[in-house]
Amino acid sequence: MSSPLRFWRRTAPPTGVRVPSRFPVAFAATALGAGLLFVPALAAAQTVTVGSSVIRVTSENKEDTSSRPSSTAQTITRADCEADQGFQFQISTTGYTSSYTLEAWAGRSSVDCKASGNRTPTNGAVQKCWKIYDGSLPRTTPQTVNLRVRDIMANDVSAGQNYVNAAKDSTVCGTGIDDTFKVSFLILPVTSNPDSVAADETFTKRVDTLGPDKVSNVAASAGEGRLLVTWGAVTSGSELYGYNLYCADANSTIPIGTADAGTGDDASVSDASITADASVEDASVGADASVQDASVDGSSSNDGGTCGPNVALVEGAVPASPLPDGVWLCGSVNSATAAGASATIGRDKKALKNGEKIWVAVAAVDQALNIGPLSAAVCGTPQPVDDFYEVYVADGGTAGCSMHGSAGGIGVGVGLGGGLAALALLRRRRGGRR
Amino acid sequence: MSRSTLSALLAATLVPALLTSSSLAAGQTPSPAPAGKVAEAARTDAANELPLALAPSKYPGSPQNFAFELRFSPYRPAVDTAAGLTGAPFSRTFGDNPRLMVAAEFDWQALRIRHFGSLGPGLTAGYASFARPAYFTGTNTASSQKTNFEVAPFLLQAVLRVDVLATDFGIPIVPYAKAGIGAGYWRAYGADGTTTANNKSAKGVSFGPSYALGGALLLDFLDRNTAASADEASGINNTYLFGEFWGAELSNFGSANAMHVGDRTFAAGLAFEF
Repeated sequence: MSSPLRFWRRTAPPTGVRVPSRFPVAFAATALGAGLLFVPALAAAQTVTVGSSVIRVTSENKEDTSSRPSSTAQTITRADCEADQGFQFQISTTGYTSSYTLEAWAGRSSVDCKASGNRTPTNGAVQKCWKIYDGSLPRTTPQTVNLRVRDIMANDVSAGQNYVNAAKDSTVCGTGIDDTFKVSFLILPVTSNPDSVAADETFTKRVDTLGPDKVSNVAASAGEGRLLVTWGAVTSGSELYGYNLYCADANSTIPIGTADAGTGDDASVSDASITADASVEDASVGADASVQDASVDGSSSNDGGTCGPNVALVEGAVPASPLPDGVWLCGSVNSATAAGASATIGRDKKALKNGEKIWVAVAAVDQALNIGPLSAAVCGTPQPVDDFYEVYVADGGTAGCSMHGSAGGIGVGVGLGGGLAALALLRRRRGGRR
Repeated sequence: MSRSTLSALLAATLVPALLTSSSLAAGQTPSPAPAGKVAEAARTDAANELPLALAPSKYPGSPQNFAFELRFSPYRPAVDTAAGLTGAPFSRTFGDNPRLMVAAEFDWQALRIRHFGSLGPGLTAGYASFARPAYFTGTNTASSQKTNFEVAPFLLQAVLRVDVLATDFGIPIVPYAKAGIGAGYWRAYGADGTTTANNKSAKGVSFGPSYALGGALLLDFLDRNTAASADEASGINNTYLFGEFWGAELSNFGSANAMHVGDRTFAAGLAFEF
């Protein structure tokens, strides 16, 4: 989805020239000669402008038309990073000749990448900006420039003056970032003074890949083809959006993720498609969260409990995409209440099998749809229960309707009410005749 | 004689006369306020120097044709009494405690009998639901899964209200009786919707007779001015607090193939005549 952004236009400031006082005549002559030599260049001052429409693009540089929640419209999320999204800019330039190069540098929003010291530090200073685009060619205008979100948020100065090209590596997505980054488009001279900026333009974007805290105190209890799952509050998770519940069966052998992104450790990645597509089935309620379609061994069990641990649902891991075999998103709750709610999603939209052992873990989701680390997994085995009507029939009861409809109480009520209304109307007409 | 004294005398003499000499035809039923108390109230108004035009007892009362009841009952359907049952499935599933039934009744006081009361048809609709964690099959261990039962009786009854005590004798009690037929819609369901078993869906309707006997306490005497104002402003003639014993034998007249969803129980609530 494209998101129109506002930018401003800048031109290169005039370069100041100091006039030596001892040799006025000689200097004047030199200056005149130099001026004659550089007249064409001075006449064509450089400008760079970013078009007003900056669109999100997929990893293949096609416009991302998938729907996004409004809460993430202006944010680069972990899911965006994992999907290797990018932004496409239309860059217009003037005075951009073969003597110049167009580069894009990224840095924290507080850093001015136009200052050469932040790009090419000297005397042991720290480099604070990293190059994410080198566009000497072509020099058409407007020029389409695609920047990868991984490059923008790479925070990688190891390449020095070279293009970072972090887009090949998704590791950056799991580093847990919540900051604003700025991209500076710079027109720089190729040879005469490579660090002096002829023109610049900036673009800022918030990056939030930090998921909520881990959910604790997860418990489960059983029903027929379902599990009722409860969990405790997420105390420090600001901007909480809801919860995802992940189920795994005994066939799961591959971990769902590797580490907690929120800690800044190396981690795998969140699941863009899952977070975006997770339908909120039931946001009702309060203290109990319930994953339907699974149920426990007659009693709840935590941390593996009587079921033992599950390889896929590793506590602290962030769910990765795609989910490994034997693991699925079995519930999602759109509820900012920390205590949870109930969800009624089963396996492939169907009930779980009675007698099949199921593990479930809960992960909180923030407003940017970043998924937090998994809770400890609990487990259970769905078992059949006796519904009242089943007990009634088993005891010899025969009441009930055929499977194709019945009169229904509403019909009865309407009939009786209609009868009463008809009586009243009849009475009124008779009264009118009298 | 001061104006206030005059107004008190007028209220004390004319209003009871108006009340007792009115035609009492349906549609023009006066507020059944006891004459003595009306006069007393009028004197009180006079003592309070109320202008004659504001004396509430002067208001003859709006037409009265209907009654509305908001009813609350403990309710537990007599499912387990059906012939042919080998066990007590309702008790086993939901226990023995009744649940709250909320109901509303609308009566048409079609016939007003002078110095006696009113008679007319009334329609009642109620609802009660039951929910309990279901047991794991073959055990007494409760699961996390609820099983539910709901019943909604609809009753069409003749309603006789004897308000002569209030209108003629100043006793704010109105005994009444009801009798008629009813239909009870019922449904058993779980998290996946209506339960099915033996190729049948767990819902249906059971019919049977219904009846009630109770008494209503006329609340107007607590604040006659407010009652009169309510009548003038909204057309509510009388307000009652009532209690009754009622029953609905909703079992298709004892059929073993019907879900017995009736009960014999008590009800209490508020009633309004308008």
